[in-house]
Amino acid sequence: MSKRKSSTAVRTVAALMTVIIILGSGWWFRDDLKEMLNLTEKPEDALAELLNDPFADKDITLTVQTMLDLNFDPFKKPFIIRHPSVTINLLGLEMTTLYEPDKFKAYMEKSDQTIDLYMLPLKQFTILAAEGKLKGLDALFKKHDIDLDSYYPPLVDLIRLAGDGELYGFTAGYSSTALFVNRKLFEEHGIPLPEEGDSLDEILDTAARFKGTGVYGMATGSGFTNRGLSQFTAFIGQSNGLKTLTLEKNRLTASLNSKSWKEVWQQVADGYKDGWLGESPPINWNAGSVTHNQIFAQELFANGKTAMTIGDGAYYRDLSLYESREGGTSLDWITIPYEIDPAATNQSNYLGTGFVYAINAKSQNAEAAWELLRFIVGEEMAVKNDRITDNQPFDASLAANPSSMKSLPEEKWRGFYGMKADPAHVLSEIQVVSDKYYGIARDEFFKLSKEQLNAVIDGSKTIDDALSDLQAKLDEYLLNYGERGAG
Amino acid sequence: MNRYRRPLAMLLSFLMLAVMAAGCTSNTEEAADEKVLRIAVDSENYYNYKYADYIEAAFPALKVELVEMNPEPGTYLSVAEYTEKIKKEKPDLILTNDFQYRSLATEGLLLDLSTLMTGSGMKEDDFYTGMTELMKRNADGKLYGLSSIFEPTVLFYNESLFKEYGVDPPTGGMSLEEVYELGSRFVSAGGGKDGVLGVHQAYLNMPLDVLDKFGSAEGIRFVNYATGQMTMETPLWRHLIEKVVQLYQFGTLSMVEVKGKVVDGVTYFDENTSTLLDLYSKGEAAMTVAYYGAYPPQLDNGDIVGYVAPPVSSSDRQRSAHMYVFTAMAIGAEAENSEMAWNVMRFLTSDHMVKVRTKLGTNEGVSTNKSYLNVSTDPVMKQLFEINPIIKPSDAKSIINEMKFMESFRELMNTEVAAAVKGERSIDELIATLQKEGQSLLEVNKKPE
Repeated sequence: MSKRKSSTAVRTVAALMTVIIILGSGWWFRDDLKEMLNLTEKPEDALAELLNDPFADKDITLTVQTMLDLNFDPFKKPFIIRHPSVTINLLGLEMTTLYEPDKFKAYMEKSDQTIDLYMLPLKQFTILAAEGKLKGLDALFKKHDIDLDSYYPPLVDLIRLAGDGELYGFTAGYSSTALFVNRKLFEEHGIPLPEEGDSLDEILDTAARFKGTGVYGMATGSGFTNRGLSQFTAFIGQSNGLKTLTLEKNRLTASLNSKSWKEVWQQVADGYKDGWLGESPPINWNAGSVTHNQIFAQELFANGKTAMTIGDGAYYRDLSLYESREGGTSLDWITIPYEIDPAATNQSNYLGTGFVYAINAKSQNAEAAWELLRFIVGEEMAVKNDRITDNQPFDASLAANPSSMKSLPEEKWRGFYGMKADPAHVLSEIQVVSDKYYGIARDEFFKLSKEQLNAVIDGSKTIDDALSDLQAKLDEYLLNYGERGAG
Repeated sequence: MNRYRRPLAMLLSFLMLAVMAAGCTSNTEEAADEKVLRIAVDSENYYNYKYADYIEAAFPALKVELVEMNPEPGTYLSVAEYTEKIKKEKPDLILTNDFQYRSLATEGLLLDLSTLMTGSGMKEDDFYTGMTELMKRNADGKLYGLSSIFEPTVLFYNESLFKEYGVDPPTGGMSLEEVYELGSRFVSAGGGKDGVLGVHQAYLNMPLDVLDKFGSAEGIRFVNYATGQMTMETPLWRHLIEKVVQLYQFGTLSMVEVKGKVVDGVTYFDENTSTLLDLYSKGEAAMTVAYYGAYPPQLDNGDIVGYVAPPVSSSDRQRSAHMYVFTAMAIGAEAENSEMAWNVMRFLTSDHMVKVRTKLGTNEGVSTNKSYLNVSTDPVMKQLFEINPIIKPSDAKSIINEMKFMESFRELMNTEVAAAVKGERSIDELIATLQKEGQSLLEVNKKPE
């Protein structure tokens, strides 16, 4: 009796299940059904949505100011692909026009071209912002829900400060300098790694522990920035707040003859003599073009000859490119941030923008210019440019938004986003260091400084005498140098 | 109550199973966008140069995995090796060239696109017929691939010179022979005296290249590679050869050869030589056939550039030996992600991409999508869409090592025709020699059994 009842029950269940499954499948697989019955939405609509082109049927022409000999295609082509109804005309300026404010001003006064989007060095950006020539972007960022918090805050602060509190432009790139550490060499010689936020003194003390190990603890330069001993000395001193040349009331003065500078020179000279500070091999810039391969064939850090070096964003890219070309190396390296003195006189080495993109306040195509600007500084382009390839991007080496640094592990680039430079300092510095008047004098300073330090190294002079002589020679040079703007 | 507890429990567990099963399946459906797309392409560099920007713009979240077919520059797989690799790798999307495509289609390695096209509201008629026709040239006559671009040529002429000599310029729809005749008229009208040729093809002005093209235009070939036999003793060949000899003698064509540097079997031309070779660009040839957009509206010397539809076949004026489709996109028959592969193909052939290509410049070929005719303001473009490539006879298995044979045959042909031009051979003697010695070369260059 019960057996009969069970089989009836099973049959009922089976019947019910069949019904449910059939109905259920119809619902679960409704998309397939739709496709089978050709009920999918028309593909052209889907593609249009994909690209979300607000300018789809409008014919717009944008004039973008760039720099001559600079390939803007990496931005232009992807933008046109997304907005084919927009025509982009490039107005390429000579490098000197772009970087010398007087020349820039003269050019703009003569030109009858209305520029929609500018591509500016920070200094020129500051000037145009102050002149009220640029469109404020804060409202636009807000309107389009762009989260500025994810961008590197000191960088955003810098641009805001350059616009006296308002964002008049934005950048895709970030430049900085950090400490490169070869973990394997530290491990091999049983020396503890430097810590984040160590001072340069502490770092040089750590480097000194490599004395006698057969490898350097520190190198004076890195990659294409092959500082020699004397330039390294200047770099360390400046990072510690010491001054080299100071511009005041259109005249330059030198301040090398001090106890603090003596300490730096002592440390560097001793380091070199004791064999833990390695001087980067010189590069012959006059031999025509120098290739990446040529530099890295003999580069100290890349070849495991030094446990540490100080390098910038460009070096980070170059080193990574070298590793990828070699099919990976046995180098185990990371970057670490170190302490910069709040009064450091080279803070622009630690906090810099790429080109600042800004919209002309008088542009008749502000909407399209804004779309181009946000595209250039946006995530898609940043992630693409972050990839280490043979075609390096033309702008600053690191991303303005660290979340776009996806191609390499964070420990390799973290150091750059921990250097604490002061945006206000950076702004006042760039007024001076990018100036030709300053540049010529600085070159002379490097030349004289090298002579004096060499004399110390070969034992023919004491540091006291060397610094005293250096000061005297600089004083004489600067006396005859003339005033800034005196022609 | 107890009576129903067991069946109820069974029902519930069946239901749960059904839900899980259905859930698993629908998850696979939804994850189509997240699935990797495996793309077969020559190399990573080529992908980045030709396709990456477009695919990344349309599908920013898509993960692409490249199957590099020819990653080493300068080294290429043979057609058979390439086909084998595709068979092994089973890529989703295949970005390749037209002759490789044909082999893949023949081997049954590609997905028939007709259902996908219908499902997407696309019709073959939306595209340049020459392209879809070529794509269907396989055993089944099915559409296994598409190309988003084709490479049309046009007949460029020097408008200023034609005006100067009072000769009516060319019109579209002329056969190659008619173009040559016009060239000769140009020469006799004064061009010859001033050292201007009638017709000149940069790099391809020697007898072998001229006759190769002339033959193609009229649907005949030097050799049947399947049987290993010379096929030049025909009335049509005699006509073409006689014509060409006369054209060289008359000065319509020139046999001046500028030699490039040969390194490892590859001929290189430096910038100077290149300029020497392109006589049309120097104003020293009245006409030339070149890719659409090859010359700007004015030559360096100020002469005005005109152009018309390229030469067509005299037996079929809707066909030309000067229209090309070099690329092909297809979906692997065993693709795991055919859906995404089709999305990419749809995008690359879309109206949007037509606009993009127009904006970025035509050095990438002309869009096959007919909506381009709404974008282009060039009246010649409409004519180009109506001229299809010549259908070449199906390539049955060749028993000849064609490259090696051609090297020697080229020398033979160029030397013999040069002699005939000088009057040292009659046309009959010339053809007899080509046939006889060409046959010997074929014997010597047979593929090993």
